[in-house]
Amino acid sequence: MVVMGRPDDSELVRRARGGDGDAFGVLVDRYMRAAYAVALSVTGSHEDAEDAAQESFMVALQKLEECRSPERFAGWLLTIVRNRSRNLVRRESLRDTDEVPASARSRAPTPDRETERSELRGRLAEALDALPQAQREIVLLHDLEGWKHREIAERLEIPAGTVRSHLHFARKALRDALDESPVRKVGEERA
Amino acid sequence: MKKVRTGGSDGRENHDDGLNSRVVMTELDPGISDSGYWDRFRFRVMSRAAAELARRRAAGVTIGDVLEKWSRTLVPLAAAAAAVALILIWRGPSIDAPLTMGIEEALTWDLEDEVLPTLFSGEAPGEASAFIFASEAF
Repeated sequence: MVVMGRPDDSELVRRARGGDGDAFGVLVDRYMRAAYAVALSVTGSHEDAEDAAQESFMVALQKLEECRSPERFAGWLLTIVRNRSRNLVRRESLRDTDEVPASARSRAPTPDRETERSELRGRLAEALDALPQAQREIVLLHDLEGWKHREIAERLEIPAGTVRSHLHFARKALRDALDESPVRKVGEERA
Repeated sequence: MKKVRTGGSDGRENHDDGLNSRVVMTELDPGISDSGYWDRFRFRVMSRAAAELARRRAAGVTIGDVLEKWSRTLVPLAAAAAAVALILIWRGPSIDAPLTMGIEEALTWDLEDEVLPTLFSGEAPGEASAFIFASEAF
């Protein structure tokens, strides 16, 4: 089904199964940010989230026939992202015995403003790390990717009330963690 | 403390929690500090997907597809060959082509069918003229 020239996921999945690169490209455009947000919620690291999200698109393409309900492609893809991210974290935890601080895992610092922002990202990542996985994922999908409660509920196949509840508690925890931190001040300045 | 309201268009997503979570979260968006980030992300995914997409396109080719593809070449060729054959048949043997015939056929070639029967029939005008006719004929 195509609505106003915007093909729905099931149509795009059907075409991608036949090797249509344009259709697969639209799916990538549509969900790359959400995939990154979910991967980030699991790994807590930009580089790992990027790797996991990109790998997940490859896995999804290779296993497209296993997507039984193409209209629910988003939820299926994000499950792959979550699993790939967990595998990545598991592999890295086996490989790295030394704990790397979240601030150090962020991108390389540069002078002045970028250094400050890198530090803020580190503090924010630490605050997110303290959240339960479900809350972290939902707050990132909502606040980073911009999905609405209804969209999150449909795509993750959980009740909308649960989404609202997770979001509420996640924000409360973030507020407590970031209270009076530079992140909070920047957030208020930018708002 | 400054209160910041965030919210979506559905009117149910306003949160007065004193922290503009959405604004703060943009710090985690790699596309904020690097405008080409998502283009590169997409490019990398599509580059890695190219082989698998090509494999899927190749796997999707059926016998019917192959025949259809071949038919695009074969049908015009067959039509052209048929047309050439028709022209050759219609024109008949070439004038310059060597004529092959048997001895008897060669002896009677270009003579009217009724000449010999007429010569040897009783209605011939005379034996002398019949002989002349026959000698000319043979």
